[in-house]
Amino acid sequence: MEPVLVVLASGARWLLVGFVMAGALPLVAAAWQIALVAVHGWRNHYAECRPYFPRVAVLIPAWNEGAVLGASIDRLMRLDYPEDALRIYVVDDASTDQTPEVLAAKSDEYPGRVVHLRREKGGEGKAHTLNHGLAILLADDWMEALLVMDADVIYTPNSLRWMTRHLADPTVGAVTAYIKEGSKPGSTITKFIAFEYITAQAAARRSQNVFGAMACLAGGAQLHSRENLVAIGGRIDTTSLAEDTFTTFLTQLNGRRVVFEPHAEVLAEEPDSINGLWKQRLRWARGNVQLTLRFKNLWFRRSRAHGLGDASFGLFWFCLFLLPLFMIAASIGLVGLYFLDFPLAWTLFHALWITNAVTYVFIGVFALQIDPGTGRRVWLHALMFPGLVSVLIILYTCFPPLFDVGIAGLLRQVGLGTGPVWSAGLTLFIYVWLAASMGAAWLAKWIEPRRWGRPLSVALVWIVGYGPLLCAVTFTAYVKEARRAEMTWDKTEKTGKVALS
Amino acid sequence: MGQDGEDGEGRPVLTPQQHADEVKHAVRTERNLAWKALIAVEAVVIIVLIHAILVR
Repeated sequence: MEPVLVVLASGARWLLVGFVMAGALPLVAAAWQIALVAVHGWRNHYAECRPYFPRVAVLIPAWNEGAVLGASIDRLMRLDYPEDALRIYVVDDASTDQTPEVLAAKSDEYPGRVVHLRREKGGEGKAHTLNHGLAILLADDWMEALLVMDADVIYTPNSLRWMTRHLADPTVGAVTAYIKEGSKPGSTITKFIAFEYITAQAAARRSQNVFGAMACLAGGAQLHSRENLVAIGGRIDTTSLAEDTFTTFLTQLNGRRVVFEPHAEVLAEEPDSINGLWKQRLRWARGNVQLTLRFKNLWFRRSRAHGLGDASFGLFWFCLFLLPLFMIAASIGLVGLYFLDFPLAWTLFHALWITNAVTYVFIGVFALQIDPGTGRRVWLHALMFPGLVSVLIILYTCFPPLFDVGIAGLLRQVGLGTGPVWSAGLTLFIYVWLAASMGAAWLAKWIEPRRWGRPLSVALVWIVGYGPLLCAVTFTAYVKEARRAEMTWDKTEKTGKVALS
Repeated sequence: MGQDGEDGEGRPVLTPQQHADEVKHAVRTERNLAWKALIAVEAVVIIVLIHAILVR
């Protein structure tokens, strides 16, 4: 071979190896992040907590929330919190349902404690709605702390005072709670979300407490001190689709801490359809793209004032943010090496998927114990989170004789699974699956509104996996942002399925 | 009302001892997570050992 070609082939080989290794990076980062939960018992904010009951204004943006608002207000009124230190302000964003009537009834039931703020021009998005209420609240000096929540969420009785105890420390600007998926009895999609929230909220936010940088205050549970609200400008950012993440970043950039209180549990109703989930997550993912670009000078630059620029936080952020690209890179690497260096491709495939298996087992087993109540309800969804195909690939890489002797033997008996074409096809399929699973997940979204689509799409999610579905959403967000698609506030429909027990 | 933790009728919502007990319970619960992480590590070790035996 010509020397130039040798150099090119060697360079291409190393590039493809790098691509495959990039696929392992988010797995290692995710396992590391979850492992940090183990030290949360020693690195937390509890030593600075005091009994503290500031006057809390609860701000609820509401557009056509008549079905859920009444129950939420009743629950708030039963919180274990001083009565005269809690007021509810509902910003009715020009609702066209029974929201005004529900609010009128609740204002009569709880005089002076439930306030109806009406916007005649609605539909501008959550941030505008919040700002309407915030301007009124900051004009008065009654409020010492602000709790921003969604109309459908239900706070467990001790949750608010367990959050406010952190605000006794003046270095803390905001506190968030553990949002749990609370739909009863729950569907396949809501149960996948319930497991996702154990990992993404109960676990990931504990680890963010440990390294001192919080990615996001949960939209349904954001408690701010008045001082913090004033410091960040007294208003919520309206230029992005991730107003809660913007607020979280601004709080920390202003030198105040954001704390996650895992024992303050808040139940929320999440979408129970793939398209509902897609709309919600596309909004979040586009917001994250906007935020990542807006704060482009922040990443990987250490600061004494906050932890957002730390390498560990940047690594976690970008591993999640760029996950679809990592998956595509890994597939490109494996397929390229299949043609260039078959044995190396096979070795790297095993290394990648054994890393995947280790991460999957560690995160799954740990997460189910972090919230055992939810874990008992969704263990099967935890098991199938990567999807049936990926679980089979994991089993194959961990226990090859099961397949080589067992399944392959059965296939050979019926005349399948033999020959080079079958072998090459199967190998390429599993190499390309990491990237292809996102396309298959998109198919589940596409098929859902069609005839027989609902059961088919749910079956497809079990096969393809919930994780790839979220990656497909993130990839769509890249495309939408690159094309500067219009920002739309697609509200998630709530029906009042949340129950405390 | 405000920082002393009393409701509108002057009753304490939370005594300092109750607060201390709650914080102690929270910290104990958090420290127990370290043991739960070890169980997850054990699960991984078992999988790796079975893998090593099967592919030997």
